[in-house]
This record gives sequence, C-alpha cells and structure tokens, in this order.
Amino acid sequence: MSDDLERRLEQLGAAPTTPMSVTAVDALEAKLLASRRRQLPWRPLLATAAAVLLLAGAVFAMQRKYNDSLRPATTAATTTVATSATAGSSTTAPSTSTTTTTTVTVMTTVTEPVPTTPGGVPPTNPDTAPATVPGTAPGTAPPTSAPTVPTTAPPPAPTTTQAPVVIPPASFPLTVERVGDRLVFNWPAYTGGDGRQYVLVRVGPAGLNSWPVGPARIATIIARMSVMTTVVNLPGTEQRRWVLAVVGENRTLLAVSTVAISA
Amino acid sequence: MNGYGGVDEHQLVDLARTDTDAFAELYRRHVQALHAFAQRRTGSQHDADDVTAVTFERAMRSLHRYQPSEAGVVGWLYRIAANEIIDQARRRQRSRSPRAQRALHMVQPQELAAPGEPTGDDPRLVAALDRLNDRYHTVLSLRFVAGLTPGEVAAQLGISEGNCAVLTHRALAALRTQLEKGGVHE
Repeated sequence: MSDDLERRLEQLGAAPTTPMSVTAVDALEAKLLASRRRQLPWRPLLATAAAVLLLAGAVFAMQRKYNDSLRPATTAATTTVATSATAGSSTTAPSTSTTTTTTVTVMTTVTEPVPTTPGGVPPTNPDTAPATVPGTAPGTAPPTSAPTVPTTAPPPAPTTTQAPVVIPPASFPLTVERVGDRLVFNWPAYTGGDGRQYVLVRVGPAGLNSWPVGPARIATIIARMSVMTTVVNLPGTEQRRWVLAVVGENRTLLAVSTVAISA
Repeated sequence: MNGYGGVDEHQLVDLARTDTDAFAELYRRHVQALHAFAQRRTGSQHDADDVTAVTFERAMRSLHRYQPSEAGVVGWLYRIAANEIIDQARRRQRSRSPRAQRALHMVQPQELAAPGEPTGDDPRLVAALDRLNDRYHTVLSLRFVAGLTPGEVAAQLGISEGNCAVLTHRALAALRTQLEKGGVHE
C-alpha cells in the first residue's frame, strides 16, 4: 500500500511540466532585480548613518569625560547645599555660653556664578569657588577678587549683589602677651565638633567686621583644634589688635574671639 | 553571460547578498527547477508561476539568513516553495468556505469563478496533499515531488534522518486517509 502511494507521489514528482516561458522568466527577473535595487541603497545609508551617530556619541562622551568646561553644574549646586547646611549650624563658644545666632551667610557668591555663567560653565573645582573659600588661608584670594573659573569661560559678574556677611559676636577670650620679639596668644579650646582650624587675624579698631579677610591680615592658621596657644614672631612695640576666628567646613566662620591688643 | 559560471552554490549565495548580478545568476540557475516543482505540486501552470515568483522574492529577502546545509541552495528554495504552496492551499480553502462563497456571489453573481482545482496528472493526490498538516505536507513534497534524499529533507527540516523516516511514514499514512476520505480507492 505504502509502496503504491510512494510510487504515485514519485510519478507526480516526475510528471512532465511546461517550462516557464522565457518572457515570464525575464519579467520575473526584472521585477526581482528592480525590487532588489530599490532595497540595496538603504543598507549602506543606514550603516553610514549609524556609524556617524556612533562617532558623534563617542566624541560627545570624550568631551564630557575630559573637558571640565562641560561638567554639569550639579556638582557645584551640591556644594552649595553642603555649605549652607554647615553655615547654618549653631556654634558653641569654647568656654562661655552658647550662641545661636552665629550663622555665616557666604552662599551668595556660590549661587551667583554657577547657574548664570555663560555657557553653563561652573567652576572647575568646588573648593576654589568664591563662596566656599572665604579667603582665610594665606595666599588665598580675597573675596572681592575674581573667582577661579575655567579659561574657556568669562569671569563671573562682580559680587555686587553679595549678601552681607554676618560676623558673630565675640564668644571666647583671646589673650596676648609679648615675650621679647614674640607675641604669645592663648585661648580656650573650641569644644564644638564642627571647627576645622583657628585663624589669627590682625584687625583694626573696629574689630573683625568682614569675612573673609585678606591674606595680609592673617598672622597664622592653626589646623589642630586642640591647640590653645600660638606664638607669632613680631619685633617692635607697635600696638596691634588681634582676633582669633574659628573656621569650620568650607572655611565658614563659626566663632570669633574677643579683641586682644598687643603692645 | 556573466562571470559566475564557475562559482559554486554557496559562494554564489554569499555574493548574492550584496551583488545583484550574483542574485540574477542564482535565479537563472534554479528558476525552472522551482517552477517544475511548483507545477507538479500545485497541478497548475498559473499557480506555479505565482509560487515561483513568491519563492524568489522571499529568498531574496532572507538571503542573509541562509545557512549552508546538505540540501544545498535548491533544497532551501524548495522548502520556501513548499511553504508558499501550503499558504496558497490555505487561501484556496478559505475561498471555498460557504461564507466566502456567499460573499463572492454578492460581488459577482453572474460570473462566479470556480475555485482553483488541481488540474495536473493526479489532481486527487494533489488535493489530498493540500489537506495534510504543514509538516506532513512539506516532508512528502520535498521527499517525493522535489526528489530530495532523506538526508537532504532531514537537513531542511532540522531533524535527524531517523526522525525524517518516521515523519515520512506518518505523512504517508495521513495522505492515505485523506485519499480515502476523498473517495479514492487504492
């Protein structure tokens, strides 16, 4: 039975057929090739477009990686928040009563240049931003000087809109006595955990009335908070006024000593 | 005459993926064999023309997926043609349904065309083949109508030769049943 059915199938496979006419073969070939020619140009075009897009993406990625001028502004914004939080914290006087009004408002110079810099170019390093560097360290630019910006960006607008810096009232004593050519300063240790360094500043008759101060007015910086004395080599007998500032994170001003007068 | 005379089948397929002339050569080599297969299988010159055209169109679109096998390029083309014959048979069956007939009467009440019936040497056998399921239909078409060896059929279907033999046996049994249903006495 199966053999018979297989034989019928094989006979069907061997049955004579009428070949496709030459005209039909040519017509079908022309149709196929025309369709193929319409399809083919899209492939190289697509491949080229994809390659161009990949190249552009790679170039853009390289620029973002290696060109600081394209760094997003969010880094600086984060720094601003951190600065604000630190500056807003209360400060404990080293040996006297607690003062709750000792806040430092130095954020304005941070928020000003970052978003408004032409081209959206923030400072390259948050540590060198004008707001976060009050200028307490020797050699640090004073607050009125132009902030550090990338060379590809124009300098930010002058700090004409800078909010006034609130100087906290004196909250701990500073004493000074001359020993020969040297001035010996003493103060009680700062007990607040947010202090990072002491800055000994020479002030005028009005005391410390601005912050940060210029480097020429800074006598010394003590980075250890457990230190309670320092010595400044200063020959002569000219009377001078001194204030010891307690500086916190991002060089924010936390506390100020009474004015000590050296002879 | 082009310069592809000495190029073997698999190389020709590789070239045809990007070269229109190579595809034309591939077409020329196999078009008559494909047409003969389609004509035997459908029993109709007209249907064979359609199947041949669709087969080469599909082959052109899927050249990038072609994997060399024991059955070669011609086996691959037969397989595409067999699938198209199955699709064609389904379309014909749908057009024969009472619903389709009523619709056709509404559109062409005076000139109702008779559904396409196989007109070859063994129309009942062809009709019974059309009623088989896809797998049985394909294995019998490739094995007996196209004349592929069991190994070539197995390669095309992605099965072992042993499985192919079992499948062929079952397909023949199913075909016999279909013939009996159709009133043909063996």
